[in-house]
Amino acid sequence: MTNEKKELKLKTSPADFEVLASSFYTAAREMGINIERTARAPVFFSAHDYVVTINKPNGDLITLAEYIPVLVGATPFAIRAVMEYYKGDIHEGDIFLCNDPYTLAGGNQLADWCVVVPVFYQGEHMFTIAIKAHQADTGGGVPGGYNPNAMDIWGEGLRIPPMRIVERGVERSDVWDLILTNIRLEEMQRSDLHCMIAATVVGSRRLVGLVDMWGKEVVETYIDDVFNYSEARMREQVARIPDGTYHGEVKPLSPGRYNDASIVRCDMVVKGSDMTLDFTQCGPQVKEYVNSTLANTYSSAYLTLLISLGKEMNREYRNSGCFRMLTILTKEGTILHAAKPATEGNDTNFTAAQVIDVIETCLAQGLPEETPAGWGHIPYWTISGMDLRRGRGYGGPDFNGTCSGAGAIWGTDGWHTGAPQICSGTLWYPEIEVAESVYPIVWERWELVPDSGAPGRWRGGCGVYDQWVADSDPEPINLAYCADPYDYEVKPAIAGGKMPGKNSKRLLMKDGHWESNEDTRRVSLYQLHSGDRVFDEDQGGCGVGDPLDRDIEAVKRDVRDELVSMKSALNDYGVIIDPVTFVVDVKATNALRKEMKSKAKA
Amino acid sequence: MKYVVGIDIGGTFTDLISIDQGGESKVVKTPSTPKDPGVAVMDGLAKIAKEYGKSLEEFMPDLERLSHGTTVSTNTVLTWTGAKVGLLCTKGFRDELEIRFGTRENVYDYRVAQPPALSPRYLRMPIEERYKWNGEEVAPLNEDEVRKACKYFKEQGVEAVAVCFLWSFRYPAHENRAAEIVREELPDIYVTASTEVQPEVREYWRMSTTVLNAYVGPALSRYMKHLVGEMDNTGFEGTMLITQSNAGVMSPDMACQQAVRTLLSGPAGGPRAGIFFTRRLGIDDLITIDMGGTSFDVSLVKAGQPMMSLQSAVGGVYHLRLPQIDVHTIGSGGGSIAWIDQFGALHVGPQAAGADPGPACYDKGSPEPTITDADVVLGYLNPDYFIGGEIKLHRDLAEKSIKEKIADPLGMSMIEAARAIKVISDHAMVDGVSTVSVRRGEDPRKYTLVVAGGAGPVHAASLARELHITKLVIPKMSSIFCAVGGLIADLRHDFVTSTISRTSLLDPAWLHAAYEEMKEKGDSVLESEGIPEGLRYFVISADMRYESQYHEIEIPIEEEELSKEGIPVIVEKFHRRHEELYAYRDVTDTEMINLRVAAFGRVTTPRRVEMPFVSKDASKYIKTTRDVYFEDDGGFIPTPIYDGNALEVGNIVEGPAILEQKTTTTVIPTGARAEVTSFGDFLVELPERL
Repeated sequence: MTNEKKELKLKTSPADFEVLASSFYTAAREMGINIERTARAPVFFSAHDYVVTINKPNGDLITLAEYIPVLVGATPFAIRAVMEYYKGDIHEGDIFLCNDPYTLAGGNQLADWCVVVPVFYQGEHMFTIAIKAHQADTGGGVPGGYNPNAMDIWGEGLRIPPMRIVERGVERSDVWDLILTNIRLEEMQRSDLHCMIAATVVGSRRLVGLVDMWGKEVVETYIDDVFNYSEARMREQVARIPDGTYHGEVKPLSPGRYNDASIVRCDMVVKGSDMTLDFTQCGPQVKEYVNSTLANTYSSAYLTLLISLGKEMNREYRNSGCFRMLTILTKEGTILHAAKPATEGNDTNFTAAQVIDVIETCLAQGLPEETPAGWGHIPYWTISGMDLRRGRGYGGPDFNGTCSGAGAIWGTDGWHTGAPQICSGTLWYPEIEVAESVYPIVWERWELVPDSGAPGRWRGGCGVYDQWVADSDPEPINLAYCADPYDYEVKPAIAGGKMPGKNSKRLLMKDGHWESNEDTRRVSLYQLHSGDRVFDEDQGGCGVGDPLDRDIEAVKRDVRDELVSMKSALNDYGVIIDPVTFVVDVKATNALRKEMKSKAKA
Repeated sequence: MKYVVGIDIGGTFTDLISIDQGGESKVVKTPSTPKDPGVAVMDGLAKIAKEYGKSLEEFMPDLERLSHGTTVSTNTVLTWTGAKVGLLCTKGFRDELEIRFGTRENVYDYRVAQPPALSPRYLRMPIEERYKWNGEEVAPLNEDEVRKACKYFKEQGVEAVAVCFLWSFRYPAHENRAAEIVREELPDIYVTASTEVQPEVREYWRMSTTVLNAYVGPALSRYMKHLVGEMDNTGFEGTMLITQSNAGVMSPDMACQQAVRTLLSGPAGGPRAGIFFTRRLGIDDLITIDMGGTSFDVSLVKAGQPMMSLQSAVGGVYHLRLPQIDVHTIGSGGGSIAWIDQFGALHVGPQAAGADPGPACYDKGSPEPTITDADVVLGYLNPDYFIGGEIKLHRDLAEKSIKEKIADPLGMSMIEAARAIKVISDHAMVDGVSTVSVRRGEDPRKYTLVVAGGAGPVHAASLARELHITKLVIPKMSSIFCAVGGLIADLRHDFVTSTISRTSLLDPAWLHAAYEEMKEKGDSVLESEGIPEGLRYFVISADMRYESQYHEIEIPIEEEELSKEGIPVIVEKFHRRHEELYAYRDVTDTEMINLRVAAFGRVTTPRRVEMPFVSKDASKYIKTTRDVYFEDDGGFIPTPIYDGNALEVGNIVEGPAILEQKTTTTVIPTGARAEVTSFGDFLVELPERL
């Protein structure tokens, strides 16, 4: 690794390098803020489900302001598709839109629409801005783009191949109408498209100003430099992993009605500072809507490498250079490289989480002290219907039921809630007063689940109870079960840490009739009426390190806070605490821990 | 003779300014006493008295008004020394404070630990009670549970209690009753209910703000009580006022109840001070910058009004939602350290050397090069006249550290390295100014830069150049800037009513009544503070958005717009502002979310004495000449050094020049021109750049 370090010689002067890095990032960030402050779709502003990137014309990523990390590597695919489709026919003032994963592999998920804008400097195409954002609706069989019953991709939504929606500055209104006519919340979506385009206007201005100020040559040299710089930093991290082949897999589970499951597995090969992630041994694509498109597989892998190897990489340097050390191998027709007409609506949740889990499982074998433990999974509901209070429809995920706990990492407990990991803290859970304003629902409980964070020297974070009662009469509330199976096994638990217990999803109908976990998985679509209740218990995260090594004070604090029960303190952590005074019997605790350790060895 | 005094307590120094009826001012700096900040206050007052040739006891009866910016509450949060806080919350919702609506500040680095809640879980007591969105009582308040919680709090040694129930901003009966019970049961304890602090929709923010109030309230109250006692003992009979985050002031009693409103008390004085120093020059659009040893604060004033924001995070993590001055702070100050990462990229900050050991040139043993070291090498700072010579700077050490730590590893000359440090740090500050201007839809070219802090005037001209700003004001008293701010601020109290209403369906009569109700509340608070009716005024506004957006924009409203005809005018203002900020306007319906009233009590602001013109010619104040680096001149050029303390009204200095004052150094680049105004400040004009 020292060799590589010596080879890196930046051609840009030190001052210019730092200032340009900051200026490019600022331009992306400004676009991001513009969107954040003005978007309409709840998934947009609550989940921050979008990404803003500045790229070379060919899609090489220069900088990004990512809001949802799972989209960190998704835009280059869209740009390459647009550039290929319109080769030789791209002009100043053009704006393109696409979402289709099967036309030139441009999309990651139909609901994520990508606006692609070439930026010209003195007549030359110098940058490409791409903004990808999850839309409120994308047509297809059900509102919102998550259709567990879809037979094929046409049932999931409108497929938009690379499409010129603004030609030399003029909006092609016929094209807009064709697209938006196929969308349920036509007007909201029109506003959100305008919001994305307005951001690219701000960004284009900024980029042209940047080249004006620095000159084309300096800027281009900088871009080469910064790719080399980021590459060197990531390679140094890869080189710390002992050479070898590492394997990770999650057991096949069906999330839905077809009961069709396929295994996700990864072989990670490390040689020097090169890494290969080989997904070719994954099982075939399935009938469920969880087949991962190529863009989603890449993007999920990028996210995993950034939260482990790249966690110290400053935001200004997250670019294509980071992934030059990486080769990804896939096989078309498998669950991680879906082929037409496979359904894919839930790949950014269900399948992305599995990609993260298997790569982390590989990394944990090579660098256990650097790898995050698994996060609790999120079997959540989407709700839709008519809100008579406001005289209009509503629809979206119950984000208050997606609050699983985070996995620990060596040295730090997992955070309580914060899931899903594909968001890693960019999903803003709606406050109860906000949720009750938007949905005809009264919440009864939303608080941490004791003992849900898996034991470890560093404990996994806790998940939540999410309990509510419908208050919508005479209109029903449509409830659809989404994402992970409730009995998903979260991994990895690292260095002796434990795995969390199961999720729980149940319903109680007004007539006293219960729907159990198994029922909700099989049926998956319900109509609720006032008085019907939903109970969720979200999973915690995995632990890291042997719980018997956990700091006694930390165990005591968790017990006092009622996050860890006396029983778990004793059985998992080997700590003996007085139930009234919370005083720890240190001597007895040490003896017990010693005994438990030797028993575990035997 | 009567006096008014402004006080600002900083990390290193406590600054005081006293202005007499005639407008003459005296300035005193005294070392801060973080353990008991009041010691420095009394010490500073004694020093001021001495300036007038009086004892403290002789001076205090003549002190009419004392405006006090305090960092007590901020430091309480940053040093983790706040009260043990118990929280009463709605049953079933025990952990909202800790869940923090799911947000993580650092998305990629999971090693950053979850911030501990300021009220730990074992002190968060769920209480049976519940209102629905429409005011329907789902569960009555269980008073027994409240009393049991009080008993438990007492056993646990709780020092403050916060109460925040769901929907209380609109239906406060349960919350108020619970707070009443706590006050009965725990009469000696600091009690605060969310409806008393910020009755605004979105319970997490309301709760976090209320818990912060409970966390800092006891400490601030102790401090206030102690200080007021000491002042009384010295014969003080005037009015004491405390600076708030919103740049207004309030009485000590209000400050104790609303301690959370002092969390940005220090830097909030900046924009007001900026107004004070520029309004007589006919300037009312300004950007104030304040650069000290470790940080750089920037804020914007448009048409005489400081820009406000509604939320922030204390210490980066504890969320606060209240009207507050939009002060943007970055970690860039004289002591910021320059460093190279292992891949050869140069960075400046955010690590800073502080006052001790300080920059390499302080010769206190730190080998790390800082911005101050670069400023010495580039000729801006005079090693023998830093703080008037009180601190001796060592040029050789500055050169050595820059050469060894930066220049040699990067294969560049020492001077190139010093320049690189300056370029990078200037850029970070330019970016900071852009944050409050360009990113808020304001064009900085239309603004005057008002410069404060010891290191501010050294860098101001080059920042202005990058920002295409052509006019700078550098107040003579720039080093005690924030102390002035409190002195000229009016009393201010903020009120809010939350509603989620489509403007097209809005009943103007209801709207009018909602504002009237808040104004009545404002009247009664100002009444209690002894402000006569004629000196009260109100500013009203509403947070608006397009239907189903999440974020709002605060839109100012005129009284007469609260009518059927006026509402479309308000809506049009919103469309325009949205377009200014975000580059587009929409055709969809708009919503009003929060209605706001700021109730003001006018104070008499001190006059500034205008001095007569003396001469244009400043040449007799040239002390010497030295080589100074100027970017536009491509390197070092011989530059006249002026005695900045001696310059007289009307003096004109053409750049390149350096004006050396005791507490700061002003750099005037080639092509720029500085003039001493009739108030003794420097007005610097830069040539326009294309």
